[in-house]
Parts: sequence; structure tokens; C-alpha cells
Amino acid sequence: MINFYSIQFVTFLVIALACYYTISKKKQWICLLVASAVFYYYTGVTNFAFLLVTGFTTWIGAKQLSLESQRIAELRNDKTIDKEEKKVKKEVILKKRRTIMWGVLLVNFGVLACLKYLEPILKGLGVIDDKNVLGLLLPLGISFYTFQSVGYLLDIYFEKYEAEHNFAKYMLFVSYFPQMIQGPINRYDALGTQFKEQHVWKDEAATKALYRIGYGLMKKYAIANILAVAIAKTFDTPATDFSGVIVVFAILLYSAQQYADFSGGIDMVLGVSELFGIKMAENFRQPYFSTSLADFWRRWHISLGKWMRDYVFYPFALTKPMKKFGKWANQKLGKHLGRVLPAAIGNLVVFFIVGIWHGAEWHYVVWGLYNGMVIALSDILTPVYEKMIKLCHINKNAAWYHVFQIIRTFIVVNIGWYFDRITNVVVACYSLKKSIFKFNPGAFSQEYAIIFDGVKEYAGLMAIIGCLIVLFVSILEENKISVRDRLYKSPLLIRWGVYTFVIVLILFSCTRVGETGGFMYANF
Amino acid sequence: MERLIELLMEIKEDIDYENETALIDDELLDSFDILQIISAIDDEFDVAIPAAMIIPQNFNSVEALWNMVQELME
Amino acid sequence: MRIFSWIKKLRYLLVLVAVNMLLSFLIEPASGASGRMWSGYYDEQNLDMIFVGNSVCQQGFIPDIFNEKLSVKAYNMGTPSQAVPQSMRAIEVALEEHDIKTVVYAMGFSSLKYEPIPEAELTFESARARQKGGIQGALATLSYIYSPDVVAKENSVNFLFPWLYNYEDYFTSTMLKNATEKLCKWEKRLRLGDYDETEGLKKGFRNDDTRVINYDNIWEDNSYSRYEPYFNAEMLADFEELLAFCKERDVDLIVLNTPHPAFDVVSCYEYYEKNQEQLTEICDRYGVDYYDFSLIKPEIYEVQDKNFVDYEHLNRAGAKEFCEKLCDFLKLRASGEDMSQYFYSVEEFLEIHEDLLNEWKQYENF
Repeated sequence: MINFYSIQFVTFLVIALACYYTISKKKQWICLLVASAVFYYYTGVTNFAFLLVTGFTTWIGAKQLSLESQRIAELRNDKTIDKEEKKVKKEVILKKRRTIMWGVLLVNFGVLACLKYLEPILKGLGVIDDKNVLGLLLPLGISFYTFQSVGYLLDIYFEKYEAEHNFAKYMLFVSYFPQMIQGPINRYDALGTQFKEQHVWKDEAATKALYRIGYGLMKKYAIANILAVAIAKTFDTPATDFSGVIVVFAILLYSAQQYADFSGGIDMVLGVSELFGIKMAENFRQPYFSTSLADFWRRWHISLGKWMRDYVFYPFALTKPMKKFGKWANQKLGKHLGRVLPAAIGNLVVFFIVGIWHGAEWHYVVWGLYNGMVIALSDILTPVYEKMIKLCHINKNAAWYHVFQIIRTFIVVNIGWYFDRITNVVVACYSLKKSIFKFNPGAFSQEYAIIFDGVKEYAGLMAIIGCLIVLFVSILEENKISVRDRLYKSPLLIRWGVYTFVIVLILFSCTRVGETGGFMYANF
Repeated sequence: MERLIELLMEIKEDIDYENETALIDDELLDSFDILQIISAIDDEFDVAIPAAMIIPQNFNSVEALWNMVQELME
Repeated sequence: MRIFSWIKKLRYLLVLVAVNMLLSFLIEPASGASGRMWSGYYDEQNLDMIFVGNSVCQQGFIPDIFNEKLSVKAYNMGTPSQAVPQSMRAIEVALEEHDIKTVVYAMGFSSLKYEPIPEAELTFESARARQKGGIQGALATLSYIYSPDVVAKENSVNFLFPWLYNYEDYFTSTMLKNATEKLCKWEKRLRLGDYDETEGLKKGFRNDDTRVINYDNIWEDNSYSRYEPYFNAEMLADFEELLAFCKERDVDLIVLNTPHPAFDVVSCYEYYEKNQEQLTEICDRYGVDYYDFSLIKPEIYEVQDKNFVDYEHLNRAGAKEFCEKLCDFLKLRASGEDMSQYFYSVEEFLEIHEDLLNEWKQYENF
């Protein structure tokens, strides 16, 4: 794992940037490719092999597909062959395209599935146990870059744009280092094209990129790292049977921690990429302001949601069987269900995949399906809601209704977190039960002390400050105010004040957290 | 094209289809709406829009949508 | 004029560097333990014996006594909360720069029971790097932050902000005190930790304590209440690394537990033997002698309550007596005697102190 907050990474970045902006602009992409190779090297040399397999198979597959597309175009314009023969020849080519596409998909998802799921499945079946571990380590970012490369292949299959003929340039898209740790999942027509442009150092852009990196670091250290300890104490130590009130509290902390950790990491990588003048896909958009679970998934891990939508949801919902099903439902169950049911099933499939994509564990599957079912059900029950709203004379545009939707969605999302954070489904269900039936608010202060044992008080204060900053920034961004632009234009003292405050917050939360023994010598 | 606008209104009202040019980019239509639109177009014009053509350019305005439908009718 | 434009762009960074240096000047103590230890160490030449360990080491070994009685040149490299990796670092450095024959590792059980405190670790390394001052100091800093163990971790960045970890407190009165002390020692101002030597502050030894045990809270404040019962696996691994390191270098390593008052041993009666067994087993594997001076027989050294400040630290008079007796012990050892005969087993010890044990058990149940 590469830690951004380390001299190693800072040195790497400075050298990479220096090279990037001093060499010939046409060769900048080569600099990035080398930097990515160096970066990936530090995660383990064997990982390279997997990366190359994915890169090569998708690249050559796409080349072949685009060749076959050309043949179809030539066929269409060929005046020497008659219509019937054209149809036959076209079918052959289409079949070839399908075979290539499925072949590449099989290889890549096969490798991913083996590395990710073989061991858990064999364990689940009782074929192997904890003693004879297969020793399969996941190469860094394989879940992300596999999806990204397959996305490219499918784009070429769908003939959305021209295939990339230069293998090295394509490998840069696959292995571009900022996206290797936790995404986002980029698209070739958005990211790949930027590599071909010429990038000049711009002070303003670089400064704003640094803002973003700082913001991400603050989220990670001031919020995520500090809260992680208490959350782990609540859920990872089965011996203590905490009351419902602490479970709920810890899940709320998890809401904050998960968002801060993931979006903080994304802010850092997007900021680093911006230093090179490359804009990657956004992954978060103030998710806790969502008004429905479907809206939430358009604001949380956006690039994954979009990937699922374009490569799973639409293709699945538009297959012949599904369309037939839709028509049947339309006839037998009415117009509303006829339209909703195919999408509902599509959602279930998508969220099942989202679940297992996170890991080969049952609780992820449950979490995924929970999300799918809630979305499916809410679509199905839309007419019922509409009726109730009319009956109660509720104004959907009222401010209070908007707040109501946000709170309702927040609760729904948090229920989902039970199955995301708690690694055992049975324990998760029990925890949910406790949250309602064994709430026991009186035990709060005592159990709070247990989970925050060893964490210094000012650590908690820093987490609160961090959360307030995030809340403030989020509200502004939600109202389409770019905080970075505003900050850049602020007067010097305000800017320097903000920089200093954030830097000190990061420094303190980095060094003041962690459990100390029962004593502290003030003088080392 | 008027018939197309009528269909769109049935699926989602409150949108000024005549003048909007960023139906997808501004997220006025979501993926669920898209499916319904595709299904409705299939019923009405007997045209099957493949997943490959679900790109913003084709759905951002009624004009773009209508052009795509006409292309597929050939 | 490109340089000027860059300076203008980076002016915030330059201000940060300046403020960082100012804060370090104000906040770092003029004579912190690590600073004092390292500056004294670099004043010595031809050392052949060192003591490493945490505060029990720093407060327990008076090098001058060993110098006199054993005709050696000794130095006390103990610092508060010194964790196993830092002890190993001290040994590494000393072995590189001197011809060390004997290393006494006074590992309190505590150093094997908790994770290293980042502030202690950073202060220790920072003091070492900056003792050399100037260019050498800068190079030492770079070599530390780029060393493989550190380069990929947060500490590599935090190291550059000494006021974050080497602090007594953040009160302005303390800052003024630090500043004036440092300014007064103008000619040695680059080094941390210069101080006039006194009896309680010499050659790394640092113990000015004349207090004795407070009998009102012996059952509340002891090893049982302060530390985990069992050793931390990571620290044990580091400990083994240290043993292996010394074995490779062919150094006479003596692992010893400085004496604790009887009540402290008694408070841990439930797991003390297990701790002993574990340590003995590891030390035997590396052919290293391990002595627990809490269990020493009175014919060699009498463990008396009056020699202690609290449950694990000797006071100055106690340290003096302990060192003198330890010298005799080491002489006897050097003559080839089997020293294990001079120690009680845990069982024997608990039998002798049965009354104390009963008192403790009563208190526990209460």
C-alpha cells in the first residue's frame, strides 16, 4: 500500500512533476507511464503480470473488434454483393464480434473471480480450511482497473469511439497511478484523450489541486482515522455486548468515517491527478444530502454506479427476454408494473454485483441486495406514495419535505451500513434488533467511555471540527458554490489562515491519535 | 416529433422538452426514465434502441432523440 | 529573476518553514531526556559498556560506579518510554562508533507490553539526528526519514515538525523558559539537552528523586493496574530481533529486569510466572543471560522499599546501592559462577511474601 502522507510519496510526486513539466510536451504521457510503472512496482512486482494480462487482452480485443466493425462498414458500401449475401456475411461478423467480446470478458473476470472469490468459495464449501491457504493476494486496484479496461472494451464493442492502436498509450490508461488505489473507474473517451493533450504548469490549477489534496488528508486523518478506533472497538470485539444506543452511535460514526475515508482518499487522488493537469471522474457528490436511495447511488461511488448502469443495467434490461417480460407484465399486470418490474429486476442484479464486488462475503451480498430491494420496492410503490402525498396535502416542493427526504434516506442508508460494517450477517441482524429493542439509553456514557478508551479527548474534538468543516464545505458545494474557487480568490490573510488551520489539524490528528500505555511521560 | 414529446410528458412531466438541451447532462432524466422512454419508443414507433446507443448525445434533447429514432427506423 | 518568481509562489511554504523552526525553538525543552542522552553520548569516546531501556534504565544505572568498580567506560542510553526498536537503534549506533563489549538491556516488562509511543520514538530519533548539528545533522535527518522502515510511513513527514512530538506542554510560560535557557547556552545552542552535570544527571543517568513509596496507594498504582498481563506479539518479535542482532555482533548482552518492590511483584502474581517463563525461553534460545532483580536473594542485594519512588522506579539513593551491588554481581558472573542460584523462583518468592500476597488478594476482592 502506498501511503500518500509519507516522504516516499512526496518525493515520488515531486520528481514525477518535475520531469513532467520539463520534458517535451509530446512526451508527457511517457513520463506518466514510467511514473505509474514505478508506483506499481512498489506494490509488488508480480502484480505487473496481472496488469499486463488485463491491458493486453482488452487492447487487442478492442483492436480486433474495431477491425470487424470496419469490415461491416465496407460490406455496407460494397456494391458487388447482393442484399441476401450481405445479411449472411454481416451475421458472421457480428457473431465473431460477440465471441471476441465474451472471450476477453471471460479471461479478465475469470482472473478477477479466481483471485477474489476462489478461496472464500472453497472455504465455504469446506474443501479447504484456514490451514491450507491458497495464498492468493489481490494485486492493488485489480477490481478497479479490470472494470475500467472492460468498460473500454465494451465501449468499442458498442462502437462508441475509435479504438486505441498504441499499446503503450493504452497501458497508461489502464495503469495510471492515481486511480490504482481506490478508483475512480474512468472512461477512455474522458481520460484517455487527456493524455494526448499538452499540459502546461498553471499556478492557479496547481494551487487548487493542493487544496483538494489537503481537504482529503484532513478527512482521512482528522475524521476517519480517529473514529475508526471507536468503531472497531464496538464491532470487532465480540466479547462485549453493547447496548443498542452505542450500536446506533457507532453506525453513525461509521457513516462519517466511511465517507471521510473513501471520499478523502478520492479527493487526494483526484488532486494528485490535477497536479498533472489530468481530470479524473468524480466519485462523490455530497451523498448524505440524497433524497432517496436511488439518488444516493448517484452521489456515492458515482463511477461504479455509472459503470453498472452502462454495462450491466441497460444491456440487461434491454435483452430480448427482459423486454418480453416487460411486455408481458404490461399486459397482465398493468402499465405501471410493466414499466417498473424490468427495471426492478435490473436493479437487483446490479446491486447483487455491487455487493459481491466489495468482497466475497455474505454480509456484502445481503447489503447489496438490501439496496437493490429498497430501490426496486420504492419504484414499485411510487403510485402508492403519490396517493398518500395527495391525501395528506403535502407540498413536495416544501423545504421541510426536502429535509424529511434527506433524513429518511439517511436512515435507510445507515440501516444498510449494518450489513456493510458488521462482517457476520447473524450478528448484523442481532445488532439491528438490539438497536430497536435493547436501546438502553442510560448505558450511553459508560459504554461510550469503553469504546473511546485510550483515545485522547482532543482527538474527539478534532474529529468534530473535521466533520463541521466537511458539513460547511458540503453545503456550499451542494448550492453550486465552488469552495476552491472562493478560497483562491480570498484575501491573503484568510487564505493563509485556512491553510494553517487545516495543516495544524492534519498534523495533530496524525500524531495525537493512537492508544498510549496507561501512562504518559511528558518529557521524552 | 410531437408524438415523441407527448410520450416523454407521460413518463416525466415538469420538463420543458421543447427547449431543453441537457436532459442527461443536467440529470433531468435518470436511468429509470431512460428505460421507460426506450420501452415507450419501442411500443410506439416499433424501434429497438440498443444499449450501445444510450449515450448523452442521443438523449440530451428531443431533437437528438428524434434523429436517433429516425435513423433506426431505416 | 525566475528565482524571485518561485520565491513569491512558495512564500507560504517559506513562512511555514520559518514558523516551524520558531515553534521548535520555543516548544522543545532545552534539556529533554533524549536530547541530554544523545549529547552526552557524543561527548564520550572509547565506550565499552552501555545500558539501554526505558525510564527504569535511565533512572537506575550510574555509569561512574561501573567505571570505577569494573574498570570500564560505561554510558547510560536509557530514555523514558524507550521502545524495543529504539533500544536496538541505540545499540546499533554504539556498536558502530565504539568497541562495545557489554550491553545491559534493562527491559521493563512494560516495554514488551505496549505499542511504541510515536512521540517517544520521534523524539529519540530526532535528538540523535540533531546532535550532530549543521550539515551532518541535516544528513542524519534525511537518512532517518528515507530509511526503509520509516520512508513509507507518516512518521517520515511528522519527523520534520519537532514541536509536535517533543514537547512538555504548550503553555507560554514554558515556551519562554525554553527560549531563555537555549539562548543562555548560546555557544552550544544547536544541540539539545546541554546541562551542567550534577550527581543526579551524569553520563545519561538522570535521577534526582529523593522520594519514597507512598504506601497509601500501593495497591492502586502498580504494574497490575498499569500494564497488560501478557506481552505484545509485535514487541516480542522486535525483542527477538534485538537478541539476534547482538548475537550476530558477538556482544555480551545481559537482559535484566531492574528491581521492583515486593508489593509490585505480588500484585502480578496471577501471570508473573508465565511472563518469566516466556522471557527465559526466548533468552535461552539466543544464549542470552536473563536476570530478574525483583527476585534476587538478599545475600547479593536486598530489595528494600526505601529505595523506590514508586512501583518500578528506584530513587537516587536506591540507584546508587543497586549499581554497587550489581557491579559485585557482574564480577561474580565474570568469574564463571552460575548466577541463577542467586535468584528465587516465582513460587519461592510468593511464599516468602505470603502476608503481602494475602493483603493484595483481600484488596482485590474488596
